[in-house]
Amino acid sequence: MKRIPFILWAFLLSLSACIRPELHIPGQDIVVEEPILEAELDVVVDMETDWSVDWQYDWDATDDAIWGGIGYDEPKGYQVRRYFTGKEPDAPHTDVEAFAITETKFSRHFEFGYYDILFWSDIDSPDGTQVLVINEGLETVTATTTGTRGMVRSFSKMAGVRSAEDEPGVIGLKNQPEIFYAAYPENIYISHNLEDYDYDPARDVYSAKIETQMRPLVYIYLIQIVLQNNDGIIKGINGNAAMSGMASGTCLNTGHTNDEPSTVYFNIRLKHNRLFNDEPCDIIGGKFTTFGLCDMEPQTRAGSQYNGSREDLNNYLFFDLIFSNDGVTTFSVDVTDQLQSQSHGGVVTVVIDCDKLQTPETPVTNAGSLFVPSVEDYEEVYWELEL
Amino acid sequence: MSLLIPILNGAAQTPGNVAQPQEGRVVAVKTNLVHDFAVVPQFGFAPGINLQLEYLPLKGHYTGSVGFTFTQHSREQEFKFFQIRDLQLELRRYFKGNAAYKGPYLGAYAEGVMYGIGFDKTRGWVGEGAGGGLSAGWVWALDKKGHLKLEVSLSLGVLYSRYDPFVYGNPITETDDGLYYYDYMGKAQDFQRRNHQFFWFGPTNAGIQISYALFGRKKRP
Repeated sequence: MKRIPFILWAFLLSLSACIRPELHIPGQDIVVEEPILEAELDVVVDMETDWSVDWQYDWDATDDAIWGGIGYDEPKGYQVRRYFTGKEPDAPHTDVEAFAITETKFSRHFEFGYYDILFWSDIDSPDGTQVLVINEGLETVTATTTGTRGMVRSFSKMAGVRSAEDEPGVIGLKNQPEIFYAAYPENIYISHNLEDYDYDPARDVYSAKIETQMRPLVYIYLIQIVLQNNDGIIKGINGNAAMSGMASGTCLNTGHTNDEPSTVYFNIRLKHNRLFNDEPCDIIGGKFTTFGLCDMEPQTRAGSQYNGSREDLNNYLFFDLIFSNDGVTTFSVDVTDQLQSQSHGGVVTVVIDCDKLQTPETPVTNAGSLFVPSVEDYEEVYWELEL
Repeated sequence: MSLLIPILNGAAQTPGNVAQPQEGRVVAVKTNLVHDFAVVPQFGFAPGINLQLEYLPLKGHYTGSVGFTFTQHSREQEFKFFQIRDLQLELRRYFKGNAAYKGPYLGAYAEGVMYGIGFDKTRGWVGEGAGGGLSAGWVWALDKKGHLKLEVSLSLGVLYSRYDPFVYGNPITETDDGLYYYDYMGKAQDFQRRNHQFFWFGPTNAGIQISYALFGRKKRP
């Protein structure tokens, strides 16, 4: 029994005995602390369409005043979301740091490890009423648009499903998104290795650069509806136009559009006495911006053919014409082939021989239009279509 | 010893007590052969020292024990480590009475453990843990007096541990400087030890144990 305390003492002594190996904390001796990363943003727009040749609507100062320029403008500011994923690349985002910059360069201290950084350009709405809606999540950020007026039409027709037909109803139209750009460099590694940085003795900091190319996630289509032989048959237009079968949103991280078709409303304007292929005509023109077709990859080269999974979706161009007797009719023209062959924007041309149009028999102003002017008229209607 | 015996019996012997005394044993010294001759996957043969003391009251069903396992292996040329310090307390109830302490039993245990384990350059762990649960087993007497016994046991319970993974070589600079480092890539000033945790529910121990009872004494029938 006298040995028991000794044995217990030996046990306790061995409890505290050294467990090997001796461990060190990495990074203790490294002099670089929080290096600076300088990001340079480069906005890339690769459009091969020569709008001045293909588009004979002749955009003028009035159009410019109404709808702004027809090209891509340089952004004036950027939103930045910085995600630190620790020592693991491709790790889930657990936190985000959000800030805005006004230049294409910015410098910021970075911790050692991996970063994902999402950039997107600020929206520059001409009238200050932004319709683009940014939905922020930790893993992805998506963009959609607000709704505008409605339209009486077969749901399946609006969705662009070629084979389906059902009873007409009133569905909502989406606003066309403002132009913006995004880039998402991933797994940026901030190492402890001094050789990875340039030393700036003036600031006494180690810095590295990343160059990021931002690409547009909204594409521009220029619409021209050529009215041939319009000897007063078409008196004018009311400005209503829409395009069906377009993606209702896009992912800023990937640039991939969603698979929820929507119909996008835009305005058009009529110009008389123009030439189309050297023939006199009237031309209705308009600019239409969109996230693109459903399930579509972002632009990697100009004029790329659509290669998404929703070739079954039709794209109908809807527009109102006012006849000489004041009757209004909404026309729809299938422009699917034109959009799918220019999936990242271009010129869409529709030619109408007015001699073949049938004037409405009971001309009551606007009664023939499928467009519903106010939100209240369709607020009970579902916006998203299950296909 | 003579002073201890009355206290442990709970009553003093008196001259009027005429019952024939029997011999009992106070403590059984045990060792778990599974711990003594452990073979660890990815490490190999890792013998250790397991020593347990089980207090054996002179009557009743219950015993209490304290045990300790000490294993200390490091093969630094192979980047392998296997070091265990495990302290275990156990209360057992034997189904057979009259202080026989053999046959089936059920028990409850609590344990604390320290460990340092490494299998190669990139897989090492050092930490501490604690747990508890139930144990069950069977005890056979190997001699006529029942001093030498063999038992088998299995424990089921929980183990919670906080630990640090470690690696060979500096993981940040990726240099082989002959040192071992915490597997940590953050800022050195933000480092906190035992920042990882581990929770286990299931089998926690297995035993094939040899015991021998020591310190004879007389007990009343």
